Amino acid sequence: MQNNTASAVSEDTFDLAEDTQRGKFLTFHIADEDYGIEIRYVTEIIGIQSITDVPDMPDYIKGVINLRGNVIPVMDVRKRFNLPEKAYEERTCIVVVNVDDKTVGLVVDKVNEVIDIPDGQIEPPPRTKAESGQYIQGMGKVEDEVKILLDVRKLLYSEDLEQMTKNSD
Amino acid sequence: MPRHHYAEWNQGQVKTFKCINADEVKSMGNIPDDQIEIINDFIQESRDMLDNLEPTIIELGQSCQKVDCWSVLNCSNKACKRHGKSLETPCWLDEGYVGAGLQTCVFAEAESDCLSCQVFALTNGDPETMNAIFRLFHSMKGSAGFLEFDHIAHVAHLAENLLDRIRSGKVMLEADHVDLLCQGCDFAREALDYVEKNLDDQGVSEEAAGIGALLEKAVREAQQKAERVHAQQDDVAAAGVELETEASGGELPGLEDLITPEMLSRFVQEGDELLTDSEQLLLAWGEDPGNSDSLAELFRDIHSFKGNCGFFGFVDLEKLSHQMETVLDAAKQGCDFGDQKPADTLLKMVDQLRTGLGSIADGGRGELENLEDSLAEMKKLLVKTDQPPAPDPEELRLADLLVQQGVVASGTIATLMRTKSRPLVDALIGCEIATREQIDQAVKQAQKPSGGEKPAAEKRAPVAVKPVKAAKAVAGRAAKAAPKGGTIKRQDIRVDLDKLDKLINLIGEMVIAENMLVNNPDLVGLELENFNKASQQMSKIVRELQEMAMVIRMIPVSGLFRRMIRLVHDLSVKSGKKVELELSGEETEVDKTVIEQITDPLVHLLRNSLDHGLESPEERVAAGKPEKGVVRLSAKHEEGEVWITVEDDGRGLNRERILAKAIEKGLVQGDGAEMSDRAVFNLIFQPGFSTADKITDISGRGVGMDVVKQNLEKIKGKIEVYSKPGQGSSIKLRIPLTLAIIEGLMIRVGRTRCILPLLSVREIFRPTAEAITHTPDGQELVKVRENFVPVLRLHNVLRKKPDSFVLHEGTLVVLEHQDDRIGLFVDEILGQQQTVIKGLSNYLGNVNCASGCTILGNGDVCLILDVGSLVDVVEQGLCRLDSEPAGVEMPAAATA
Repeated sequence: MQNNTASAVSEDTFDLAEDTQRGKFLTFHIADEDYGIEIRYVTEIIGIQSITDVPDMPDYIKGVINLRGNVIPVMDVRKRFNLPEKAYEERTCIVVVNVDDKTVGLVVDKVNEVIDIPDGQIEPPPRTKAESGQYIQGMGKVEDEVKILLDVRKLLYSEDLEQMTKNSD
Repeated sequence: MPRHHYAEWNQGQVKTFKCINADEVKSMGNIPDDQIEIINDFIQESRDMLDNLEPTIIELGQSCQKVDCWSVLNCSNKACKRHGKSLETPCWLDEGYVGAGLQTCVFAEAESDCLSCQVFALTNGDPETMNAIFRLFHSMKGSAGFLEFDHIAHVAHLAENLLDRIRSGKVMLEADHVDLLCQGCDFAREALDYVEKNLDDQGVSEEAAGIGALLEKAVREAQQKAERVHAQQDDVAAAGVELETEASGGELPGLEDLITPEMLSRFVQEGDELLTDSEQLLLAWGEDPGNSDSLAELFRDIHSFKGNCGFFGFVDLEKLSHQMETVLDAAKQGCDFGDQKPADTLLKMVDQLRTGLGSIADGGRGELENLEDSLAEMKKLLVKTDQPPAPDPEELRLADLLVQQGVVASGTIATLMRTKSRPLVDALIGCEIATREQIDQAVKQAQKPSGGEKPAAEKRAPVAVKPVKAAKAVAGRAAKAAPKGGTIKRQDIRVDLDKLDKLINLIGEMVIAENMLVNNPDLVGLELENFNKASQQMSKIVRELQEMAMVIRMIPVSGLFRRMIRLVHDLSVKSGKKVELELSGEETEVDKTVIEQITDPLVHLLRNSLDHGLESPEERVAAGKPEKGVVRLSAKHEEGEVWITVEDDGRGLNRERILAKAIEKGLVQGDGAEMSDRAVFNLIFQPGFSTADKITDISGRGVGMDVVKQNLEKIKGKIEVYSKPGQGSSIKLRIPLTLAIIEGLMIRVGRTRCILPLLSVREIFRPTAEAITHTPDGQELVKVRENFVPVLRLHNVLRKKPDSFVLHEGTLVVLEHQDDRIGLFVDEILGQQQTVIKGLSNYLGNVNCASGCTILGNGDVCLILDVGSLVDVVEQGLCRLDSEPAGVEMPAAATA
């Protein structure tokens, strides 16, 4: 978890096209903080739409949506971080990410922009025992602001979710 | 029947002829990749062939029975020796016209009458089946021989010999023969395994010798038996006793009758493909004569083509392609064609072949008028190359002469002419084929009567040929133009399964899109007459398209069923029970995945029927049943499902024994007296459940039925068991016709809509307050006529707020899953609709209570409830009244 983001990125960089995406992050806003995820995981951003509940899922899995004929699950990132719930409004967005060929929608309060954060501007995550700390890939410094860079894979597959899917098997 | 024939032909002939020159395989120490590939092809195809062969052999065995000719034919010839008697020897060898028969049968006038006689077919097996087996062995022999797998070829040859005797009526078919042929198949399988590992078949020589000896012995014994018949007859006509083997050369008399138009059109299509391929390869080869890859492929193509032509008896095409093959073979050997262009010549020949093919497509016989010309042209290519010094005309004349005078055989001289390195006379003498005196004498004799006339005639001949040649060339060109008119039509294409699945997915999408369009909320309240007409039309087309898409993936169950024939045969031999397997509905088509999933279950069910169901012959006779047990395997379409039934007339399931065992295992509390037969019978599907006292090598461990259940669940199928003590049992597999689209019933709880598979819905009603009972542990029961059905509140499962918590204000949907019934409490029924099943994301893993989802007309996602797990919820008592307040959460208002 030390300052190895660069090598982590290059490990799963497969082609040149992805090379141009290096160092680019999509930033979004949840509660009072700005977060960023690597742009290569993001396939699209859509507005909030009606979500169908799926029984017996952890509370941060809001259900499934219809993305042009494909049914994809949706995760509420607020709930994932155990933040208080907030009613969805017109600025609420679903960031659709694709990790390991699995497509998942992430509900965020507001999407900001795509920014470049060079490796040198990324600090290792704080050593914290807090649950939400484990999803953090690093802290990006942009001018005098700080963006919390999230590890999408960990966001999607933390232990509790894995356990849950195992149990249901 | 045509379908089978076609399949056998296809596997047996077309594919297996993708062979190469075996000498090369052997001569090279390590075998090159492309030849390994060919050997692998051979293995694969031979295995397919064997899969086909076995059931056919057993079918043949079953089609044979002991009959008396006079009763079958209703013969009134009282003078006949056989009349009224049941004789061991077959009538056609006795009174008939085969071999040394007495020729006294009033129903036949020649051998062919005997062979086409009903009695013959009944005793020695259905001739069509026989020919099919013969062909398969023959193809195997051919391919194996070509690749120099001599042991396989030898066994196949011996099997062929035996079959030939049987087919031509020389001997009678016996049960042993069927077993022996099956053993032959087993050997071939083993040998193929060996070949796969070692790329030759030297290691199976012992087995081959063993089975070979058995086959030979069988032929000998059968022959002796048949001859004994003759010996008993005093006035046997001496003629015709000789052991005739005219058919063993692979000639298939009457084969043409077996060629169906489908096979023919298939042949034309395949042939066309091969020729197109060859054309391209020839062009490539012409450009780059050093390219041995394309040459090898070309050789294979032409070889396959030749094989097909030979099979169908298109002699001209066969001859021509054979000659082409020879040229190509020469080219493969690295022979130098000088300044000739073999590719150009061969291209011309391909055109000719196509002309012939065109004429076959038009119903002709594929005759080529300028065949001789073409053959000569190709020979010229070879002559130039094989014998750099052109053969001396004097020697040719001498060779002719020697053949005419009978000094040397024509074949010998031809070989000699090609291989010799010295003058012919010296060569002949050197090889001790003829002495100088013989030659001199022959020459003298030839010159004596006709003097100089002969050489003159020969001189004249080439001149005479010329104008004919020119005329033929013109005709050839004219004929060449003909096929360009497009007489060869394609009737099928091979498609990648992936593409097909994508197409089917797209059609699924389209069904959804159509729904969204036609039921678009924007249209509500509008009077759109034209739009409605158009949308109805569209809906209709989309439905048809959807049905079509389902059909594309369907294949008939016949292949699967026929595999079971061998299984039953083996099991019956092993267990000593006499069994007849009856197949019906083989043409029923089911989805490809379904076939894959029910293969294992069928094996287990048949084993069970044979091992547990059917009694031994003695027991059967004691119970007043025919000695031979019957197992019926049938398939049919019913109620939007495919029903596959395994039925036997054995002793049936033993309710007491099953119950006792279940109680012993703790599966049933109490004495189980109140359990229905169905519930008891369903116990056999519990893992590890077996009532068998002894574990045989066939069954008894209690694993099989569990496999049946597991596999059926995968394809959303159901199992029904019926049994009557002493009369037999029947197990029915009910499988939904399609796995992609179901008929759904849409229901509503609060603001949530869900789909229930309509096939599981038994009835829908609003209960009265009096019909509801509460058990002490909080389970609600509703009385449906005479039965009590447990109630499951869907709002508890989904954790939604319903319109009403009161049962008699809502609706109960009675669902059935493998004989368990529950009443599902919902707010409202919204209607029925075609539902395209989509999987929930695999990110979510297995979702409890939902088997998938679908997309509704308004674009919303809607869950499809899984009846099986809803039933489980009730059975596990997870949904009691008391859990109600805790379970209910506010509906997803926040999310909407």
